[in-house]
Amino acid sequence: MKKNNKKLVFHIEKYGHGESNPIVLRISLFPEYTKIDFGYVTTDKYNNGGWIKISPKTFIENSITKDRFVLTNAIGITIAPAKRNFESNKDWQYFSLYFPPIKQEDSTINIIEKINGNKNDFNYFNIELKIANGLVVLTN
Amino acid sequence: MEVSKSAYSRYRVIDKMLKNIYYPFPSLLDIQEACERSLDKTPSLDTLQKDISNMKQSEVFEAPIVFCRKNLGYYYSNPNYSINSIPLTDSDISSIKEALDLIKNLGGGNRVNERFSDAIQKILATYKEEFPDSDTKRKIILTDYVEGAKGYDNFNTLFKACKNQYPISFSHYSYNYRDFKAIIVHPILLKEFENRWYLVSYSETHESIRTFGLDRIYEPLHLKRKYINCDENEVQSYCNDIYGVYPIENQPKQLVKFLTSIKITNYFEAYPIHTSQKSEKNETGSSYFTINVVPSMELIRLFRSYGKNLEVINPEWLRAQTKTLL
Repeated sequence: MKKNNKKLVFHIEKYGHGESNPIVLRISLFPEYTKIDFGYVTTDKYNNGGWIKISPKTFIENSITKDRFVLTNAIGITIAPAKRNFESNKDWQYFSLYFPPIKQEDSTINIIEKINGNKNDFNYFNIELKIANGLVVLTN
Repeated sequence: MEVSKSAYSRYRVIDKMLKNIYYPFPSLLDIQEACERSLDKTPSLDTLQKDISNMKQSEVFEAPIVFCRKNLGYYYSNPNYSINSIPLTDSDISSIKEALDLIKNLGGGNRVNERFSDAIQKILATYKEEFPDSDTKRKIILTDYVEGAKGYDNFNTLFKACKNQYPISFSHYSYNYRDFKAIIVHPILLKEFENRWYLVSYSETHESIRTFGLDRIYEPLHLKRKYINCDENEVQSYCNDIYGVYPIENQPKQLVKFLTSIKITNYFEAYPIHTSQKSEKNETGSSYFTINVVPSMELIRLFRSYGKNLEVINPEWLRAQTKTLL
C-alpha cells in the first residue's frame, strides 16, 4: 500500500458550477491533511457584496470510489450558520478548507458543499489530480 | 583583519588541539593530520604556520600561542584561553545594541527576523547584558512604518526563498484585475519602495521577471524544483533602471526630461529620484532634470503629485499622461 510520504501541491484554477462560486486555486495533499485554497471575489449581485460562509457538511469525494472526506477545519471563512458580510461589491476573500488526508494517487475528486445544491452552493466536479503534476513542497 | 570561512575552520581545529590536555604540545604535523580528519582537507605546513601567526597577531583573537622547544609543540601560555571564549568589550556590546536598535527602528518590528533578535539576545545574555535597555524605548529614528500592514507574515519565508533560491508556489490576488491566480515563481530579491515590500522574481506563469506586492501574496510554499536563474544583466536592469516597482509594459529604458518650478527644485536636487538624474538649472531657479529609466506607474504618480510645479518635457506620451494636471 502506498504511503502519503510527500507534501504535494496542485495548481488547479477551476471555478465551480455557479458563476459566483470561488475559484479553486490549489489543492495540497499532505500526509497530515488535504487542504484546498480558494479565492472569492464579490460581484454586483448585491450592493454590499453579499456574504460568504461554508457548510460544516462540506466534503470531498473520489468521483470513482465515492469515498468521502468531511471538512475538518476552515481558515478565512466562517462555518455556517455564521457568515461574513462583505462591505462592498469590490471585496475579496482568500480561504482554505481542510479535510482528512487522501491517498496520493491519480484520482478525480468532487468538492461538494451541498448535494444537489443550487448555483450558490460551492460545488465542484471532476477535478483531476495527476500525481505527476503535483509540485513537491520542501519540508523545512 | 577578515577571516575566511576555511581559515576559521582551521583555527577551530588548532584551538581544539591546543585545549586538549590529553595530547599536549601538538606539532604542525599533528595539526595537519587533525585538519585532514576533521575537514577532509590537508592544509600545507606553511598554511598552518601562517594560521598560527595570524591567530597570534589578530586583534580579534590575540591568541597566546607559544612554541615549546622542549616538547617541540605548541601550547597556550594562558591555559584558560580559547577562541570560543573571546570576550566582547564594552564597545563591542554597545555596537551590537546600537545595530539591533537601528535595525528595529528602520525596519519596523515585524520586519526584523525574530530569530536574529533571539540570537543577539543570547549573545548578550552570555555577557549578562540585557536588551533592550531603557534607552532603546525612546525612538531615535522614526520611519513611516504603520503596524497592521498586510503581507509581512510571509517576509521570512520569502527572504529564505530568495536567499536559498527555492522556487515557490503561492496564491495571488490582483487589485487591478480583481482575480486570483496560483503562481509559481523563482524569487530573486525583496525590494522596499515607499514603505511597501515587493518580491521580484521570475514568474513561470508570465515567463518573465515580475514584481508582486507582499500584501497580495497568500501562503507561499517552498518547492523542490529546479531554480530558474535569470540573466544577471536583465535582473540588474529590471531592478535598477526604474523609479518605483511596476514598469509600464512595452516601454523601454528612455530619457525622461522634466521641468521643476522654483518651489520644488531644491527637493529634487537634495533627493535625486534616480542615480542617472542630471540637472540644468535656469537663472530663475527652476530646473530641467533628466533621468534615464524604464517609466513606471510610480514615476507617473510622482510627477502628478507635484501638479503645476512639474512639467514633463519629453517623451511626448509621458507628457500627455501627466499634463492633465498642469
